[in-house]
Amino acid sequence: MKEFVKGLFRENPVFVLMLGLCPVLAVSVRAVNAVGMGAALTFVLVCSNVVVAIAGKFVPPGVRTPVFIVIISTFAGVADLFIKAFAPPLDRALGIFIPLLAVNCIILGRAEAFAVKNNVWRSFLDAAGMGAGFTLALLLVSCVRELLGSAALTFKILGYGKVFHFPFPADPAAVMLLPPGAFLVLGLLAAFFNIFRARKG
Amino acid sequence: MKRTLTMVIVLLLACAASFFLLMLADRHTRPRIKAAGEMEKNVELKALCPGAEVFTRRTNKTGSVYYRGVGGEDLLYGYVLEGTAEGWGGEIRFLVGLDVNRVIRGVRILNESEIQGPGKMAVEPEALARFEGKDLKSFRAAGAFAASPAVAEGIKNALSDFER
Repeated sequence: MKEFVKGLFRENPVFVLMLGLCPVLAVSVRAVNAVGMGAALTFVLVCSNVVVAIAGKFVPPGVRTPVFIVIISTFAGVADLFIKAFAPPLDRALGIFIPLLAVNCIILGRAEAFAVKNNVWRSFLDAAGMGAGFTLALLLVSCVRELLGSAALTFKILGYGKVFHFPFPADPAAVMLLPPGAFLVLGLLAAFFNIFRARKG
Repeated sequence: MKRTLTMVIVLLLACAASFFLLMLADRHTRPRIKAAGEMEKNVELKALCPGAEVFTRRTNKTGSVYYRGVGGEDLLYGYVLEGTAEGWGGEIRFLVGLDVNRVIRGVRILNESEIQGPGKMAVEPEALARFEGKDLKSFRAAGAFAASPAVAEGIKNALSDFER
């Protein structure tokens, strides 16, 4: 269980390891995007970690990285096709960032640093924890940006869920939906997260 | 030599396994992706040619595809042209709605992979709205549209093909 929990807090990929920031900055304008992106990354991360844990020891060191990229890009391709088929609005919202999971540094990093040296169960827990940590971080950034930038929170996907509107006394800050808003929110949340982590020791 | 051969075989095996897995996923999802695309296109056709109930797909001599929008009593409501443009992130597929006088009613993007920035802004509805009310003559006179030159070039080509 330790392997799962570390990805949520102590080694959170976004706030602590500072990995995979491109999709975090780009798609975090709506909460529903965070859920979709997080689910896609978790799927690719879990599948690739499990396959690397099984097959990694048979791969010669000289072709390790190319083989791992082939494995990761295969699962990224599968995720892309299924999102296109079953959730076209989510596919439009996430755009190029789903195919780009093939070169996501969290996934390649966990394959190289963890899965290849550990057994299948530990690799699975590590991937699930890192995926959950990424999803929670992305959801946190998205909620703050959407709340301040649109005065709403969107948890509606495939016709299910709800959009919550919040009456603000002033107009929402549109800058929060732009790239500078993403950097600002991510930086502040990472700072708070790390202060909290340091105080907890 | 043996080491190199082992590496080649492992890489080939990985690629072959990847190929089969992706082929299975593609086979499983293709009908749904196609159906979703068609449904989306029908919605866009109706939005670009309001009033029309039936859209007949036609191909002109240059191979370009367009739709004739016909309503009740066989009344022609307009045309919708299919076109492509070369964006920064790859091919952009779009539809151009024309009224019976061949003036643009609207432009809708069917497929694009532009990244955030000028590329994405060029395919946003605000940028596409600039083409409304234009025809082939105004495209030739304007030369280029600064807001979205690639899409403008694509629309101009689609209009030229249609006129031919």
